[in-house]
Amino acid sequence: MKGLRAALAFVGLLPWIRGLANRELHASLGGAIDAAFFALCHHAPERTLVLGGDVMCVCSRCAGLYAGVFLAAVWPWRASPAILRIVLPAGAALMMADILSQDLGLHAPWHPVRLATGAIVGFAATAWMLSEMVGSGRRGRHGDHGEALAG
Amino acid sequence: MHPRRFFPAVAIGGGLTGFVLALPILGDVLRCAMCIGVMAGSLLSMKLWLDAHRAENLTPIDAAMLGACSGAVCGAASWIVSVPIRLAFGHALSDFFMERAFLPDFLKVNLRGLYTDDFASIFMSLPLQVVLYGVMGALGGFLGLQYVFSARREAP
Repeated sequence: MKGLRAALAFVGLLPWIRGLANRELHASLGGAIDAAFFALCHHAPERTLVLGGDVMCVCSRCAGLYAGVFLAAVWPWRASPAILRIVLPAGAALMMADILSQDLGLHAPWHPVRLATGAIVGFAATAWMLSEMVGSGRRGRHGDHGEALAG
Repeated sequence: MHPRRFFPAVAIGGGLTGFVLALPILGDVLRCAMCIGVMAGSLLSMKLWLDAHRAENLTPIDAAMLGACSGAVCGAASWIVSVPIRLAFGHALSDFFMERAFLPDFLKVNLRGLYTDDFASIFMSLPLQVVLYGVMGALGGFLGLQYVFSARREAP
């Protein structure tokens, strides 16, 4: 579980490290991070945040999503799966509403909304997964203990 | 939890998805749809495994592990297929995309960046890509069990 949390935190933080430490990173390492994220995001300039004068390697919605993944990975409390089961589709519906209204030309890309909707979905999905995994791990251990006692 | 039991389903599902994502033009179109390609690979791997093990169900941990393996295989396969393409045809593909008038400018710039990486960047991107795709695959596997294959979810 600790390894998974570490991997989630690393992945969630990576685009932000790339954006914030852009000038300090070796060019090849920066290029490697870009190459890894190129396959996962369109990062259109008008939909991407600019940090320190350079555009991030992912769009603002994906940046929010990765931030949500990071927050869920380092979140010290176990969130209720029942609540997250509702929060995730609600967040996804908000995100879809923003995507549709933006792509229909009703408004320009709003970075705060893009960040927030991405973060809700990223946090809810990751926290739900971790919460269920902790739950089934506990049930598994209790089950094994029960079987051992019965045996 | 033994990840090895998910092979060869994850090798087939993840490998196939990675191959498709690495293909020029087709893969470039799929890449624009966020990480859906990687998550779809997790779903394909899960379907293959569930079809091959009709008497077994999956726990959330199993689903995330299966998805992570599929994502990692997808990242590695995509990298392996794309390296010779990038090194041999990178500039030609970059020129091909730059000359297409119907493509938006941001897409051209992104595609040019993808096909003109230096070798050190390409080499260092492998472990990053495997971890990144593995994490996205784990999320895809977990969500796939909750929403797509919920009937095969092991009762607590």
